[in-house]
Amino acid sequence: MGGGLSPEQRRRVRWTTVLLTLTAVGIYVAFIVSSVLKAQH
Amino acid sequence: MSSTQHTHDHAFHHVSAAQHDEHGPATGIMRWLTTTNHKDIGTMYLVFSLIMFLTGGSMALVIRAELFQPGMQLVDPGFFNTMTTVHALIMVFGAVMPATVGLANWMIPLQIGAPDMALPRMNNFSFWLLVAAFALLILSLFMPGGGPASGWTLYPPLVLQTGDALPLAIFAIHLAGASSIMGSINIIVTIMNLRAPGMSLLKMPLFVWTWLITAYLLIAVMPVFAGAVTMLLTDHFFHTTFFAAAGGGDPVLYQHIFWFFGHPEVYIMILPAFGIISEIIPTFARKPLFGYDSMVYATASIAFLSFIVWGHHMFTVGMPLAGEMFFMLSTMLIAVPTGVKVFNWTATLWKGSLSFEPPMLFALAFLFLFTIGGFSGLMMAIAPVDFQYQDTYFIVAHFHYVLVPGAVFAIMGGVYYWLPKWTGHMYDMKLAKVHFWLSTIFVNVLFFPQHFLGLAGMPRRIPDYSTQFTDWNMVSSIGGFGFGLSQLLFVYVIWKCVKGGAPATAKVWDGARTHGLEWTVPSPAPYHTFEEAPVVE
Repeated sequence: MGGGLSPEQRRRVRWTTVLLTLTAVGIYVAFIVSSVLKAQH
Repeated sequence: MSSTQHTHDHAFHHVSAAQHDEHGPATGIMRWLTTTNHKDIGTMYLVFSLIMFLTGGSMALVIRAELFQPGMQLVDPGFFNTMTTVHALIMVFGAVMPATVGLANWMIPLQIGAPDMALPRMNNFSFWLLVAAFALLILSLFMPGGGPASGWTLYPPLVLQTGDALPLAIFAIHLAGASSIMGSINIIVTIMNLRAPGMSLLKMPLFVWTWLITAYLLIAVMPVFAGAVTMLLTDHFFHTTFFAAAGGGDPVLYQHIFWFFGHPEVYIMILPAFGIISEIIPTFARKPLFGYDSMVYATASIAFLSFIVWGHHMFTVGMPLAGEMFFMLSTMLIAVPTGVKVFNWTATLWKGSLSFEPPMLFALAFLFLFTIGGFSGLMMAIAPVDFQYQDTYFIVAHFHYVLVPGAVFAIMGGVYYWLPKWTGHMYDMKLAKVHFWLSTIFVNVLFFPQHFLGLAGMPRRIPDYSTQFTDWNMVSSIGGFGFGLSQLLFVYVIWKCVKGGAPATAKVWDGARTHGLEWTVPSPAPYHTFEEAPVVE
C-alpha cells in the first residue's frame, strides 16, 4: 500500500503515528505515576 | 452528494483494476496469517467477532439456564460468577468492539477513497494480538481456582482473590488493549492522511466520522484501563497497596480509574453504531441525512461528555453532595446531543420514500429500542433514585438495551447493508427478515422483564433468588434461548450469501446516496481498490 503514497503523505503518516503512540504511552505512564505519588503521601 | 454522481465512471475504472489484480490474494492459510489487505483483515475481525458473539452468548445461556428457576440447578456459584464475568469481557472486548473494527477496516478505506489502511502491517498485528488475547482469556477458565469471577469491572479487593487465572486475564486485557490502541492509531492516521482529494472532513460519511471520534476516545481511555489492571497486578504479586486500605491504599481509587475508562468505553461501542444507522436510514428513506453537521457535532459532544460523567456509576459508594450533583447533571446533559441524533434520524424518515429491507428493519428497531435504553439511563442519572436501582436487574436491563438492540442490532444492520458489497451476492431477504423479527421479539422477551425484576429488588450477579422473582426470570430465560437460537439463522444467511446468490450491482441499494465512495466500486469490491485516488467534486 505504501508504494502509492507521496513523500509528504508518508511523512504525515509517520508523524501522526508517532504522536498518537506517544500520547497513548504517556497516558498509561501518567496514570501509574500519579497513583504511585498518591500512594507515597 | 457530488461524490456519488460519477458512480459509473469509477465502477468501470475499478473493473479494470480488478482485472490486473490476478496476482491478488495469496492462497491457503498464509493468506490469512500474513495478509495486510484491509478487506481480508476486516473479514477476519468480523468472523472473529461472530465466533466470540456465539461463545459469549453461550455463556449467557448458562446464566439464563441457571436463573430459569430459583435454587441451584446446573452450576456452582463460583462458576456462575465466572460466567457473568467472562461473558461480559468477551462481549465487550471480543464481540462488539472487534465487529465495529471489522466494519471500519472494510469500509473506511472504501468510503474515503483510500487504497488501504495507512499502516497495513500493524493492522495485521493488531488482529492477531486480539486472537492471542482471547485465547488467553478463555484458557484462564481452566486454571486452578477457576476463571476470573469478580465481574467485568474487576473491582479489588474481590478480584485479588482470583487464583492463577488473574495474571492470565490481566495479560489478556493488556493484549486486547494494545490491539485496540494500534487499531485506533491506524484508523486516525488513515482518515487524517489518506482521504481522496476533495473529501474534506465535513464531506466524510457519518460512519467515518463516528469512528474517527471513537478512535480518539480509545487512545485516551484504553491506557487508563491498562494502568489500572497493571496496578492490580502489582498489588497481587509485588505487595504494593494501591488499592488495599490496609497498606494505605484506596479500593475506591480503582473504581474511579475504572469508570474513567468504563464510561467512554460504552460510547466506544455505541458511536460506530450511530454511524452505521446514519448510513442506513438515508439509503432506505431515499433522502439525504437530516442535519449532517449537527450529527457530527453531537457525536463530538457525546464523546467529550463521556469523560466527565464516570461518577454516576459510583453514587452509592459515597461522595460529596456537590460531586453527586455534578455527575447527575453532566450525565443528563448527554441526553441533549443524543436527542439531536434521534431527532435527526426521525426527521430523515419524515416524508421519506421508505422501504423495509433487513438493514432498515434493524435500523428502525435500533431507533426505538436504543431509545428505551437511553431513557432508563436518564432515570439512573438521578442520584437519589439510583440508590434504589444500583446493582439490581434494572441496571442489567438498561445496559443490555443499549448494547444488544443498540450496538449489536446496528452491527447486524451494517452487515446486512454491506454484505452484498463484500460478497457480490444478494442474500436471502426472506430469511434475513425472519432473523430480524425473531431477534426483535426475543430480545424484548429477554430484557424487558428484567426492568420489572430490578424494580422489585432482584440483585444482579446472583445464581439464586427469592421465589417472588420466578415468573419474570422464566420469561427472560425463554427470551434468552429464543434470541440465542435465532442467531444461528444469522450465521446461515451469511454463509448462504458467501456461497452464492443473485449478483449484486455496484450500487446494491437503489437509494444508496450517502457521502461514501463504497458504491462507486463494483460488487464484490476488488481486492485492491482506489490505487489511483478518486477525486471528489
